[in-house]
Amino acid sequence: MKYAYGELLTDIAKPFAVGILIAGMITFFFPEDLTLWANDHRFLSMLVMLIAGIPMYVCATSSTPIAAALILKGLNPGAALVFLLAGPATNAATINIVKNLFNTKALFIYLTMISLCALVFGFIVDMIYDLSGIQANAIVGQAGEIFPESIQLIAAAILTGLIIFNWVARLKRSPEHAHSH
Amino acid sequence: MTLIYEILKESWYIYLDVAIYMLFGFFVAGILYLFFKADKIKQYLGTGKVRPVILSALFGIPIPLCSCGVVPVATGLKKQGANSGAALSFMIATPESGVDSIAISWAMLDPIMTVVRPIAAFITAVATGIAQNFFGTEDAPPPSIQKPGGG
Repeated sequence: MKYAYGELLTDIAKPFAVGILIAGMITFFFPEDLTLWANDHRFLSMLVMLIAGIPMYVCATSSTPIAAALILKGLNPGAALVFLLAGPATNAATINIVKNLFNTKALFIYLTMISLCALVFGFIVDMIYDLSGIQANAIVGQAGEIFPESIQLIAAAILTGLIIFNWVARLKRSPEHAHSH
Repeated sequence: MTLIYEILKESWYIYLDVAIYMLFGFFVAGILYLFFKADKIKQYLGTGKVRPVILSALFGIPIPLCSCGVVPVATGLKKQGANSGAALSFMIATPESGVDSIAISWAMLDPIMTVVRPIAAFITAVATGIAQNFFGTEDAPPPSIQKPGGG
C-alpha cells in the first residue's frame, strides 16, 4: 500500500494534473461542436490523433481526461481510442530506447504495428458505436456522476492530501537522492 | 483572469469526477504490487516464439507503469533472457493499460471504452511481439555468433 499511495501516486500525480488541465482547456477553448467535422473526416481525425499521440509523453491515466474532453466535444470515439492507444505506448524517449535496446528493424516493427492496431481498433470502436446506436458524447462521463457531490469532495480532499503529503516527503528526502527513480 | 478561472473550474469538475476512482485504482495497484514483482516476471514466461509474448502481455495489462517506468523492467526482462518479442510486448501492454487507467476510463469514458482499451492493448502487444519474433532480427549489437537466418 505504501507503494501504491506513495511512489506510484507521486509518479502519476504530476502528469495526471497536467492531463486534467489540458482537458479543462479543451473543454473551455474547443468549439462546441466538432461532431460535423469528425463525422465527415473520421479517418483523418484518427490520423491526426495518431500523429499527435506517438511522440507525446502521456500515461494511460493522464490521457483519459484528454480523450474524454475530446469526445465530449464531438470527436469520434474511434479517434479518441487511437489517442488512448498510441499516446501512452510510445513517446520520443521510448522510440529512442527501442532502437538502442533492440535495433532499427525492431523499431520499425514496433511503430508500424502500434499504428496499425490503433487504427484498426479505432475503426472497430466507431463501428460498435454506430451499430449500437450509442451517441458517445451522450454517455461519456456518466459513471463519474453517480456519486453525490459530498462523496466526490471527500475523495478529492483525500487524494489531494495524499499528493501533498508525498510531495512534501519527497522534497525532504531529495537532497540525498535527487533522481532516485 | 476570468479565462484562467474558467479553465481551472473545468479542471476542478473533472478532478471531482475522477478522484474516487483514482483512490480505488491505486488501491488495486498496491495489491498487485504486493503479489508479484514486475522484475520477477521472466520466471513465469517460459520459452518459444508465441507463448512468452502472450504471457508478458497478460502480465503487462494490469500493471500501472508509465511508458518510461516500464523501460527498466523491459530491459531487465531482456537481460534475464526473454526474447525481443516478449520484451516488446511487455513494453506495449504495460503503459497502454493498467488497473488505475481502467478505473479512470470507467469514470470518465464509458463501458465500451473501458472494455476495449485493455483488449486493444493486449492484441497490439501480442501482434507486435509475434511480428518481432518472426520477422525481426535478434540483437545486432552483441558480437556473439550470428546464426544465419536466425530471425
